[in-house]
Amino acid sequence: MDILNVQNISIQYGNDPPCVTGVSFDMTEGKIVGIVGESGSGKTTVVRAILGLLPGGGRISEGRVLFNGEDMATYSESRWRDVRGSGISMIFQDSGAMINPIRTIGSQYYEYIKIHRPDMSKADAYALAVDTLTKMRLPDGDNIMKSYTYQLSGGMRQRVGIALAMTFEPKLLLADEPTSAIDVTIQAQIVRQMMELRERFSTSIVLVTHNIGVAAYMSDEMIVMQYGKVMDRGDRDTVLNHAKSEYTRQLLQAVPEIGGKRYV
Amino acid sequence: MSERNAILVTENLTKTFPASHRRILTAVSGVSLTAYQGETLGIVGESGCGKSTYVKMLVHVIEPTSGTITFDGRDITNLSGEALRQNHREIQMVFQDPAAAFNPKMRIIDIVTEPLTNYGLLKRIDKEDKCAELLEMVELPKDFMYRFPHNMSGGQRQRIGVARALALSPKVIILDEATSALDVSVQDRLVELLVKLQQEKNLTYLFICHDMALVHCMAHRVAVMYLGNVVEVLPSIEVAENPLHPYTKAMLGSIFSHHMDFTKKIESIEGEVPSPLNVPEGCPFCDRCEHATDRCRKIKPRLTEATPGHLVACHLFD
Repeated sequence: MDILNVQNISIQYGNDPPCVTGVSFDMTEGKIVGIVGESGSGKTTVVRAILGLLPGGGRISEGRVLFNGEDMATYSESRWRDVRGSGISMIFQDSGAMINPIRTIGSQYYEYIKIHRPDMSKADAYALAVDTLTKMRLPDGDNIMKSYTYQLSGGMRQRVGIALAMTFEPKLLLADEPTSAIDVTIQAQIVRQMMELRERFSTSIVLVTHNIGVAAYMSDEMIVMQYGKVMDRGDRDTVLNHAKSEYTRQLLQAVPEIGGKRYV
Repeated sequence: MSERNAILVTENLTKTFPASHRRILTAVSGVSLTAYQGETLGIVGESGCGKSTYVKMLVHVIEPTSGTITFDGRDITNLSGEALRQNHREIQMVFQDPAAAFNPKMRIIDIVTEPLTNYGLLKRIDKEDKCAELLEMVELPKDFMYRFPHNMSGGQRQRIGVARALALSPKVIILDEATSALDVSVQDRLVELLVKLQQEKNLTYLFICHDMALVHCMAHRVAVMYLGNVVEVLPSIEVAENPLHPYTKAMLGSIFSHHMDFTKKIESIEGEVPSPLNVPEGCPFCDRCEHATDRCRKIKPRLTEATPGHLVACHLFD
């Protein structure tokens, strides 16, 4: 059965005309869908809408999002709380900005676990946190728990963000520009990390990025968006080599490449 | 080689900052680079490698701790006062974030012509004509001159940044991550414009960028920096075929492209860049390098010529 079905959704803020229209895709276990587009194309809006995180006045005005076959629009506030973090979780562009800078990572990690598993003992929660951090190749979990965000590098912070998201081994991971704020050699490490999540936990991933190379490497299916509309959608090979829209072809051409187009 | 005019030369340029507990932070360590007239020298490296500190020394925003900067045969390292002010006319800069680089309350016409009025080179009556000329150069319509920066897109704003840098007809333009904030399609058109302007005016660019692929596409020569050191300088056509330094190879191995073999395992180096407060004694890259030997850990390799025009600082090629 599909984990997630996004059926022809449109997203609207207030009474403005919809800013995203006609987005559909389905997630099966272990599938990675890459949503690419330039700034303002609505790619982030789509993943935020899936998790019900649209800012002020934003709503899905048409279409449905089904999680495990259940319409998410019917969810109560407490049902949402059960799903977020345990069923679906999200990684943001800069996990450092998501973590409170004046509290240790450990105290926030503990709080996060406690909210989702109120009956877990403190020792178990600590062990779960350290174990998850270690799985994300953060060498010294105990030390990370005692650290503040400013003591970690960008790559390590992003790994902490992934660890937080993967604590309860959710079926679906939404990754919003997970590698945009970090350097290329660290980006490669994070991409490898996310591919391992799929191998180890069969996690399905919705990847939102403007880096077409990363999306191409990771995705089974790709969606290209512009101005809130889907320009191309299909398996990776179709989109990269037999794109239907002129926009996708131009976008692919504009990406600088080693051994590609030279300007001088 | 020799007939090319070396316009901007740095010798052993070093910048250290004092840090807490009497430690010393080495941001740039003995960088010797030469930019030739009419060419683009790309400087690539990851965050914290000192590439921005290096170019800030060239425009005297940061004073170097030691080393020399030579512009067009003149030593400009210790210029001050009026001589320094006049020197600024020759070396101009375009910044990463065009939204932050302009005064939001100034109109485009004032932004673009301000460098000229600063040097008393423009009468008020000629201002509109000059602005129109500069806007045309960067392929923007001239009715943009009465707009404010916030009424423009990121790509248009960055063109204004280029127009302002061109106003004084400098010989060298430093592009510090000038295209990094832009979408790829906008970036593509801006790079085409920059290359066209370079060919028309015989400009020299120092192009700072973290995107190896882009640097390789637009620069004539590429300098790779790591932890304040230049580890390799190579002609950009050799980037794909003949990179020598293990770090350059690692960087190239980390690039994702939609034309790559998707079944390929990602070759990336483990670990992270060490803190510039705690630079290894030998080769700066030794603790992440798979070829590192005891010699690498003790003696710092010097930049030496491996093949003509291709310099590398690595004991593997001594």
